[in-house]
Amino acid sequence: MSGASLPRVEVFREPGGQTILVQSRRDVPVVFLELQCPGGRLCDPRRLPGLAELAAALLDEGPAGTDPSDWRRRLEGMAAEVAFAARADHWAAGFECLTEDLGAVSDLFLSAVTAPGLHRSEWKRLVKARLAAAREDWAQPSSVIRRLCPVQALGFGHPSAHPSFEKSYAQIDYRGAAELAAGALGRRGEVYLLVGGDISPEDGAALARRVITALPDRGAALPAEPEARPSAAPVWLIDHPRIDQAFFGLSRAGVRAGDPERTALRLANFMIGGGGFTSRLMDRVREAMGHTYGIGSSLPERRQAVPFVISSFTQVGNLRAMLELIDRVLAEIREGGFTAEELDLARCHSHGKLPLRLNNPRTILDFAAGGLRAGLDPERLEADWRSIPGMSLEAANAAARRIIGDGRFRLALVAPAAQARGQVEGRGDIAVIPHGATPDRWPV
Amino acid sequence: MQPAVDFTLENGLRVIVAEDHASPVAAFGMCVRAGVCDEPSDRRGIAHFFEHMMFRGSERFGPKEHTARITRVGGDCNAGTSIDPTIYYETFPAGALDEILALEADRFMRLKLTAEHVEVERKVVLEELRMYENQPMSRAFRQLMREIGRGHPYGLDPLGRTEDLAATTVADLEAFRRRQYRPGNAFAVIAGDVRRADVEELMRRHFGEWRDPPEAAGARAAVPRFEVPAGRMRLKLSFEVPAVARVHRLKPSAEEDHAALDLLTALLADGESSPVQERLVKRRRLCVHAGGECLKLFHGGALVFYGAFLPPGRHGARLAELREICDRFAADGPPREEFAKRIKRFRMRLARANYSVMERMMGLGNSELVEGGYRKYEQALEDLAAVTPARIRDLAARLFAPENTLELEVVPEKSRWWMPLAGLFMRVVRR
Repeated sequence: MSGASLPRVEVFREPGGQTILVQSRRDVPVVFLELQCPGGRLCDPRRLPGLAELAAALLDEGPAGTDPSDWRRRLEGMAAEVAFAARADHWAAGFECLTEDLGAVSDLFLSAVTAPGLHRSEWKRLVKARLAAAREDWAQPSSVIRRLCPVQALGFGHPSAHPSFEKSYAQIDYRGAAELAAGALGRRGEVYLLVGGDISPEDGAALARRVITALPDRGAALPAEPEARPSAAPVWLIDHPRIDQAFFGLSRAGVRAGDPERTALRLANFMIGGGGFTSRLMDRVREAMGHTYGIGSSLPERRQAVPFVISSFTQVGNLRAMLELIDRVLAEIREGGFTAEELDLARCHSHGKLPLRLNNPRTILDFAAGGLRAGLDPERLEADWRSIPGMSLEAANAAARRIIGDGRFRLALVAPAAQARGQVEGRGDIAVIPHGATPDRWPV
Repeated sequence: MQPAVDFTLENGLRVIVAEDHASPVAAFGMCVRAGVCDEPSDRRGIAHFFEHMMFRGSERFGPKEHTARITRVGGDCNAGTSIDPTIYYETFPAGALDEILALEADRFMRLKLTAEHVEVERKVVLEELRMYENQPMSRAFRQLMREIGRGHPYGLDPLGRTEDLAATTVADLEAFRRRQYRPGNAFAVIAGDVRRADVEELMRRHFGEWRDPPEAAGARAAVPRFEVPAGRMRLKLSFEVPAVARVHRLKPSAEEDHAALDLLTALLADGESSPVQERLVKRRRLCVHAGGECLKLFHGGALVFYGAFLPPGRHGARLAELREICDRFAADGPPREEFAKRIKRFRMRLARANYSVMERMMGLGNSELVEGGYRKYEQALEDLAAVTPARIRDLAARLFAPENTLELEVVPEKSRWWMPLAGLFMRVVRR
């Protein structure tokens, strides 16, 4: 295993409470900056998922006094990007440009941040674009299942289970989105500035400070995380009569970012289903039996609750056999643990992979900022990484037992109900949901 | 970062090497000319089926070892079968180059095809085929290609046909391997923290014994030129949102003027300020999304400009707008000041690509495959800068001529006939 280090990130803690992170890489003539302020999709009211996304879209149209088309033309003329986004728990506002245009582009960026145009003239277009995208997206069974599992595990409206959809976009009005956008960015609260690329750490920090100074002196009060409201029925079946496979997800409580056992938990998830072709589930379900093209598990780490999910698909007539095999594999892991060979592979990959993944300033800074949000500074992240080769089988097995728990998972599936119902009988009450029912109508 | 170089082994295997010592990472790719045009007519999908079998073990390495060994060093590997080629690729710590090449060479030269593995993998590829068929978006793109490519292998699905996949035997796969998987029909690209001399020595050591089988001489079947049909077509596809497209016929990739084509596509459709996006989406509000794509293929490709719209309405108005944009461009030529702007966007993209050895490896490979040589990737900015307005005008005149143009009206399969009426009603009520 390599003795290399993770890429270095300079961290500056500002007197106002903001954190500046700089990662300098001078061989590629590109600079980027991203401002992150608390809020984002956490600001979506329960009835209106998509509000924050539309607020960010309004910010994207440029500053007051500039025609949105002219704004875009100026940026594209410099091959630059200025973009605003509503992420799970923060707003992101940033730019990326060639080094030669840094001065001009950072001025344009500041004008969009400090005096947003919130152009009403663009509203209908922005909404329609999202209606069309949502219509396409919700027609894909794999997209539906991705949203179904968190809603089943946490209840619609929980920050990790609050998908937007066609009707929710249609109900959002300009005034609400503009109000949210106007107050989105400020210098108070948990504010991060990420600066990376062809810039020195000192110049990067100075650029970030210029942005901080220009920000209004405010910060959003974020709502407390609501209690999870898992569904009463352990099986949700979205009746899709026009497909011949069952797309499904098995879910149960996950972990939160910064968990003290995070390294062992990540390794355990890798060996269960997160490690692609080498995971136990992939090996037994696909490679040995050919039940499916792909099966995987995900153990997201966020500050808010997020479920652990195992997802896959197979022919409807094969569903019972495949679910029973998954149950057996999970029971074997829970009771017998992993092999030393499996652990060795997981440790080697996880330790070797991280430096390969951190190959550009943006990824490196996202990694570092994600750590800080979870209370882990860059030194702690490096120590976590260094601890991977020494992780014991006992710790990994204990983590797996924690992930799998008592082995009782909620099951959500998109499949033709007439054929699928018999395949899932015996797994508890089944709630059949018509295909096309919006997520706010899914049972709780 | 140094310019890429190449060498050819005695067996005919061409190798491209791009040294980049910014971080201790490397990417390897092997591109095999094995796609839908190379499949027997009763074994559709065999190129993709075979690609799956390449992960099922070779003489020296057991069925799970290829992936496990790459995983162990922290690397990742995968493969993809598209219309023309099949590509195998991985990223890994540069220090593992020797092991990676040993693994690759063994499966390319000494693959073990067993009936047991073929049976299991058959189930997997059939599940994959079903999965794409059950996703409306991917089904729509495959329906579209089937309609446009009718009568040509390009109209066939690289995922194959259920009955052919069910009938494919070990002997079929072995015959396919001997015909397509040979050094004269493949090339390798390696980018990252490696040295050319080391790569050459290792490639010779591991791949030096790979030979074209005797029957391979002249093995490539003659494939007819692919020509997008001209005229107008109305297609019901499994998209949820209606759309229009203008599809322009491209020559086989070896004959096309790629720099002019890339610049023309960018001048018309790259970015929100491009004519296609700005006029259809921003100014006229005829579409919710618009853009342009270039499909460069061995036997003839397509340049596509498209727009999707909501609520459902008249396709004709959108097609007329697209036609007007293209016709004006062909008549007036591009504004000279737009050249520098679009080339700068290419410069930005190429600069960003330098962060990733995988992206550089793929870019070099793609240029080698369809643009007449890997050097085109590195010379892209010079080639673009050398394009004159006259070249763009000539190209536009050819591509946008009616005999090279198909106008497409795409209607969602699932009828929402009431939507225009509902929209009209809402407008009346609001007034």
